[in-house]
Parts: sequence; structure tokens; C-alpha cells
Amino acid sequence: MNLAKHYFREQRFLMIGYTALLMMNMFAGVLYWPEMRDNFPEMIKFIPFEPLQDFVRAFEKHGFWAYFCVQHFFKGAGMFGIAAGGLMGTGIVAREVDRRTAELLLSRPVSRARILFVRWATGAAMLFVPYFAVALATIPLAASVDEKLNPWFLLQGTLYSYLFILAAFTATVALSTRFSHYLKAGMLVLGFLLMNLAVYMIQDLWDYSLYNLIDLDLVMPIAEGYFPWYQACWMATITLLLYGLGLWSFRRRDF
Amino acid sequence: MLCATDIHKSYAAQPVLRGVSLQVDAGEIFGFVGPNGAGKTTFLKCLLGLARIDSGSMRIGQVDAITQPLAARRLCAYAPSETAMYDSMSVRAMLEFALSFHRNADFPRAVKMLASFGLPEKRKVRALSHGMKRKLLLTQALCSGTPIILLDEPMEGLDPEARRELENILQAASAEGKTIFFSSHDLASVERICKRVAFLRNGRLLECDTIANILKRAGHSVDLALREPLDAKALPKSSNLSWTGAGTEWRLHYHGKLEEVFDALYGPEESTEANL
Repeated sequence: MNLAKHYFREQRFLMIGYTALLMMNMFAGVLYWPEMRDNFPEMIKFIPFEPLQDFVRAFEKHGFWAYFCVQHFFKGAGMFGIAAGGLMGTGIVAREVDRRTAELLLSRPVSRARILFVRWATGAAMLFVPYFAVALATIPLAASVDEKLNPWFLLQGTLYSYLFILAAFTATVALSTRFSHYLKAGMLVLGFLLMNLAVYMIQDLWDYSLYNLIDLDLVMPIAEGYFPWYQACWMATITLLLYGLGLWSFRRRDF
Repeated sequence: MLCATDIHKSYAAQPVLRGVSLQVDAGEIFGFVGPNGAGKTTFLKCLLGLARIDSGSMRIGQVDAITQPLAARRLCAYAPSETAMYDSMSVRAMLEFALSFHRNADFPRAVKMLASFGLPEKRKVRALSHGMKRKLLLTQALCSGTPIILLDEPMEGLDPEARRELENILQAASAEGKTIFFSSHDLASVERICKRVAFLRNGRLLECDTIANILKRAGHSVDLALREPLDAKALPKSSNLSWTGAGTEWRLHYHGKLEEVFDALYGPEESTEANL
């Protein structure tokens, strides 16, 4: 409990910032929706990238659910979520080494496996709670612009896209167990994902981008009862493998 | 209480500990002395499972510290030489956090010790001086309720008054039956409070004995600048002294007291003359 409390205390401002960003993104997005709803053909002309144009076409065709999927599952998870996950994950071990407190912490009668698990679980919860809360808050917000969101599909989509954040967070945690500079692991993961986002914007290459995992083609059909189980299991497996790798590396490291 | 046998440890093929073996008895204050880079901190880290040894064995009480590092850490409290702590915490919160992992920690005693060290509980750790941080680290180690206390350079950064106070606290803890193992550069403190001492240099254990025995064995040297050059054959000879140098610059190495050496060489009367 003390480990979780300590980690929460250290990351609370990051969590507040992440929550604020998600909220602002969703508020601004939903309030802009009525204007957008009436001007799709005009808007498409001003959008430079094909994938983004596809998003707007999907809004026109499928309505508010598609718009919400992009705002929360693609933008919320794929940008704000991974940024918060990257910064939170990098602090789990590397920050302790960087500020020279690792010796103090690891000399306590507590196993490294427990330290890693408690911190990972706390970080995962700190990433999930704001993400889920903002998704729920969108239901009344959507009603204010005469749109409806199905809470059940919203929950499924949120859980699915959260797996993307969790995988990025766990990748950072795994790298954090190797590095001594606390920002290095986060920057590596964020750089890698930014590169994937850039690849996603290139039409000929977008099949190779990890952002396909939270693409509209996968999350939108959730509203029709098609949950992307295959991709969800794949992300969960990768997360478990990364966690195992991080634990193995943390246990073997000399401090 | 604490037993290390033939410990070898290397960092990136650079040997840091080369066959270190020592034993510390229960209730003993044991000094671990050596220059910077001798391997003192590495030895302590290996003992706590913070670094893995290449070969050898370590036991803390009945526990194998290599295969059961968690059980070994339950028996030990540690104050590292590094004074870095969680800066955003208050002194009290830091102490609570550090002690929360130890089942038998004595928090009220720790609070009293903070007061005796003059540490304000509500002050943020970041606002503490180096010496104050050292006192906070020592407080958490001394009040953790473990039978063994490992201290890495505990005297560093402390003023003479605090050093004396710490020496008294360590002696009191030893009287309570706690085993104290501490590394230090401060030979005066080591001599005052330790029963036995180990000297480490370049990862090798040079001596491990009582201070009295080590002093008895240790030699002394005196540099002499003579008015006129002297031939080596003309220098006094004895089993407990030797000479190095040439001409007017000579170094005399001897064991025991210098007066006794001269007495043995010349007899008491001539010896006094020679000293003059």
C-alpha cells in the first residue's frame, strides 16, 4: 500500500494534466461537432492527409459515434494516453536510478517483483481512471449537442483502446528497468510511436503502423457488436510479454 | 551473525571484490575501512542483494543472503552513503515511508531521535542540508527494529558533535544486542567504537582483526634529513627496524615504540643522546 501511495503521490500531477488534456479535447471536440456536422464537404477540402480525410468521410457516414471514436480512442488514447503512459512508465525504475534513490528503496525488505507490480498496477490504474471517466462524461456532453452514445459500446471501446495505452506504458516500464536516465525510456517509446503515427499518415505505408490497432476500421464496428478480439488479445499478450521482460531485467540488474 | 566467504564481484570485467571473507559476531560493532574505490559499498550492496556476486557465499543470521535476499533484508536496516531521498516528502513522511517496510520499526523512537538530532519533522527533505539528510538516513536505519544495522560512511557530513552523538547511539545499540557493520574513512571513530576492523584495498581484504592486534602488527616510519651523508653500513641495525634511502635522506621503518627501538640499540643513556 505504501508503495502504491508513494507512486501515486509522485505521479499525481501528471495524472491531473492527462485528465485535463482528455477533458479539454473531448469538450472542445463535442462542442465543435454541430458546426462540423453541417459542413462535411467543405471540411474535407482543407484536410491534407488521406487518412484524416477518411475520418471525416466516416463522420459523415456514421455520425457521432465515428467522431467520438476518433476523438477519444484515436486521439485520446493514441496521443494523450501514450504520452502520459510513456512519462509515467519511465519513472518506475529509471527515475529512482537517476535521482539516486534506488539504493534506498531496494534495500527495504520488499521484493523487486512486488515493487514493479505495485507500481505498474498503480500506473495502469492512473491511466485508466481518467480515460474511462472522460468517456463516461461524454454521454451527458453528447446529449447537449443532441447526440446519443451507447454506454455499453462506449465501455467496450474504451477498454479496447486502453489496451493500446497499457502496451505503450508497459513497454516504457520494461525499458525503464534498463536505463539510468529517467526520460530515456519514455522518449524512446514516444519516439517510436510518433514514427508510427507518421507512417500512418502515409497512405502506402499505413498498414504497417501500430496506429491501425486503434483505427476507425476496428473500433467503429464495436457499435455493431463486433469487438476486435484478435487485436485485443494480441495487445494483451504483448503487454504481458513486455511486463515479463521488464521483470526479468529488473531482477537481474545491479544497483 | 554475518558471514561472507570468498566473495568475488566484477563490474564489466573489472574486479571490485577479490575473495573477501569475513565474519561479524552478534552484538559487535564492526568497522569496514578502506580508501575510495576499495569495494566497501559494493560489499554492502552484495550483502543486501542490490548487486549480484560472481562467486562466494554470504549468510546473515541463518539466512543465505544470495538465495534468499528478501529474508536477508528483513534482518537488516541500511543507511546508504548516498544521501539522495524523495525530495518532495517531508522529513516525517520520508521516515514513515522508510520504516513502513520494517515490521518491528519503532516510529515513536525515531521521532524522538529526529528531535535529538534537531531535525524539523515538517520540513521538506529538499530543504535539508547534507548533514541533516545523513541524520535522517541514520534515524531510519537505527529505528527499524532489525538485529543488524548496515551503515555506509555514516560519519560523512556530520559535525564533530553529531559524530560523538552517533558513536554513543551505536554503542548503545550494540549494548542492546544489535550488530552494527559500518564502512568509514573516519579512522578515529572506528578506533573509538569498533571492537574489530577489516581493511579493504583494491577489493582485497588486507586485515581483519581487533584494533589492538592490528596496531601491534602495524609498523611506523619516520623521515630523517641528516646534516651529512651517511653510509648504509653505518646505520643501526635491529630486527624491528629497517632503512630505505641514501645520502642525507633516509626513511626509518620500525615496529613498537621508537624509544624502545633506540633503547634496544644503544641502551637507555645513549638512546636519550641519540634522540636528542
